[in-house]
Amino acid sequence: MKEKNIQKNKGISVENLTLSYEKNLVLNNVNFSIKKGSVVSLLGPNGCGKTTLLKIINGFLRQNEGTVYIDSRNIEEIANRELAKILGHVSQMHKSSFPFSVLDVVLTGRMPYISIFASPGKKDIEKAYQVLEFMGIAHFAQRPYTQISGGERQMVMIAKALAQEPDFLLLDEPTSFLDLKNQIHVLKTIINLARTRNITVLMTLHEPNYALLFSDEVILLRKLENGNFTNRHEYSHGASPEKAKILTLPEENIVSSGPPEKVMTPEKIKEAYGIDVEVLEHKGKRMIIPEI
Amino acid sequence: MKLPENEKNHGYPACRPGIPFYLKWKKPAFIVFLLLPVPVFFVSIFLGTYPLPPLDLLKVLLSHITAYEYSYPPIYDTVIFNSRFPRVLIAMMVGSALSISGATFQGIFRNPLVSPYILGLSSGAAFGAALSIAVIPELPAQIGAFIFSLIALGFSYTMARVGRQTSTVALILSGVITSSVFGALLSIIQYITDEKAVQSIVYWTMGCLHTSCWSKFYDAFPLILTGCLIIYLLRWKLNVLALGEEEAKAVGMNVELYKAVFITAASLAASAAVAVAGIIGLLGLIVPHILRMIFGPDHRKIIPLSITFGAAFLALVDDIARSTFGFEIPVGIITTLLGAPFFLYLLRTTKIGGWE
Repeated sequence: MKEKNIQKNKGISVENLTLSYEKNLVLNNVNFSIKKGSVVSLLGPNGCGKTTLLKIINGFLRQNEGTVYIDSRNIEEIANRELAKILGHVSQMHKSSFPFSVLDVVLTGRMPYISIFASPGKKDIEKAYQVLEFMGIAHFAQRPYTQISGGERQMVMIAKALAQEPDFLLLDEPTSFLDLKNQIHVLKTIINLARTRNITVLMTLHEPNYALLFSDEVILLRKLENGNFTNRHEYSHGASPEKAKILTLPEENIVSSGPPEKVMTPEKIKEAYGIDVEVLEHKGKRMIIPEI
Repeated sequence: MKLPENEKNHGYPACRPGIPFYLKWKKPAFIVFLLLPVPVFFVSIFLGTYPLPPLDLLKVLLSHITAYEYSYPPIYDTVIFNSRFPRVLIAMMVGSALSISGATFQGIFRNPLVSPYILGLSSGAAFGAALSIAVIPELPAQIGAFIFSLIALGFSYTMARVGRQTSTVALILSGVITSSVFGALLSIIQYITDEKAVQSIVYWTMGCLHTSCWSKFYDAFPLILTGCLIIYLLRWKLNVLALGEEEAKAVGMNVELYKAVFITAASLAASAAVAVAGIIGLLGLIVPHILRMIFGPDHRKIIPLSITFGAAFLALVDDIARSTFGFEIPVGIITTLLGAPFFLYLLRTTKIGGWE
């Protein structure tokens, strides 16, 4: 017991997480922990539950079973407002119907620090500018958010999350819809955040090579094949123990987790994605090339 | 969050916090728009169907405020203080209420094209008014309208609420359903009642201010004031909500709670306005839009400006309604006729018609 406490002391720790949407089991018995200050990538095919996992960790969705600890506190016991001070979330490409200025968008990140009837004050504006400067985008603080490029918009959303002054940052496919230059720029910025501000980063990625290049650890997920099975929970109530055992899915989501070079092997990638890949090494860097 | 000194400016000295909150020319414009109701009020009390020479009116006012002695027929007092004053004030109050609630609904639904009537408020009110005109004459029309507009809103809101969530699309659909249900109920009343009642129902639904009196003002004022005050105090939170519900949740906002508070406050103000003035169309759309075009979408500016500019705008439209022709035109007809081409123009020139 004591050992366990030390283990989940700092960082994020996920224990026995299970979730099903309607009758589809999406996450089954997910366990992992993330050390404070590290950059962790979540990888896996479409529909394997990456986004769902992020949504559970930041409290958007409730799991059926299991617990998420952040700095050894159960997130279900943390109020929304408190959680927003610890954890920032950058969702997949965001669109706005109103042409708010970039500064106004970033200011909304100050929400957890602003009392009910108040508006952002001088301090909040100062904070927002600090974040914008750190991200190198202070020069378009007054530009309408709807008129900047996709890459710039992603930087703004990260800036907004940083304005929350979080210790943890969750990013859902931060590189989607970006061109090559912007992808690298955004990922480098994220790494920089973790290194200079000791922010723990958990992000989902589609490109395995980016996981190799930009993360300290990789969590490789698979899609649960028998997704339409009724979930474990219901069976454990209804059916006899033996039957429940048979019907319980043996599969778990996590194929492997750990340092990228250990996780990103051809065998494990095949297990997760079902395709054959080759791993090449070049100047000490690894590269994954699919076999066509 | 402390930054090393050398990182601090990144070579952008010009945009440090000294930055004007509103760009330079916008600050005077902001103040002008805030103060607009004052001159509009004075212009408006000079207009009306009763032939009262402006100079005489000025003299009457002076004799009331200062020691200036002036003898005038007592009817002047009635015209000025019991007819024009309440009428202009009611026009202003209703203008504020509809504009602020339009701006609020647009923020919550993240769509610049929704109106305060989106949740079925107007059809509920029309039905309530019809009910009191044709069926229960003991019930004053404005109270019937007020009660049924709230019933309609409550109906839409509960219908859209699944579990602990109320999605935007569900709210809009349930608003459509509610509107048609109350529209049908209104038709039943119009079908079975006599011609005279139908006439007054139609007149009521067109939205007019010519029956304005102090008691109507006092009835609606506290409700509209409360609604406006709540929205004004929470105005920045509308920015957070307008960026999307998921974004709002991510920064720790209790989205359902804020949405319920905003909908309640905006509905209270709009219902009270509709109860005293009938259905004045498109105002809640035009005013916030003009303001957004000039001042941008920030609700910290749009909300206070909606109150003042909305007031000035409806008072001016009402001036047109009662003084351009020899007879009174219901003000709702003018706002709709002005608003329709404006609405069309917006649809054509902006790409903001769709929901996200």
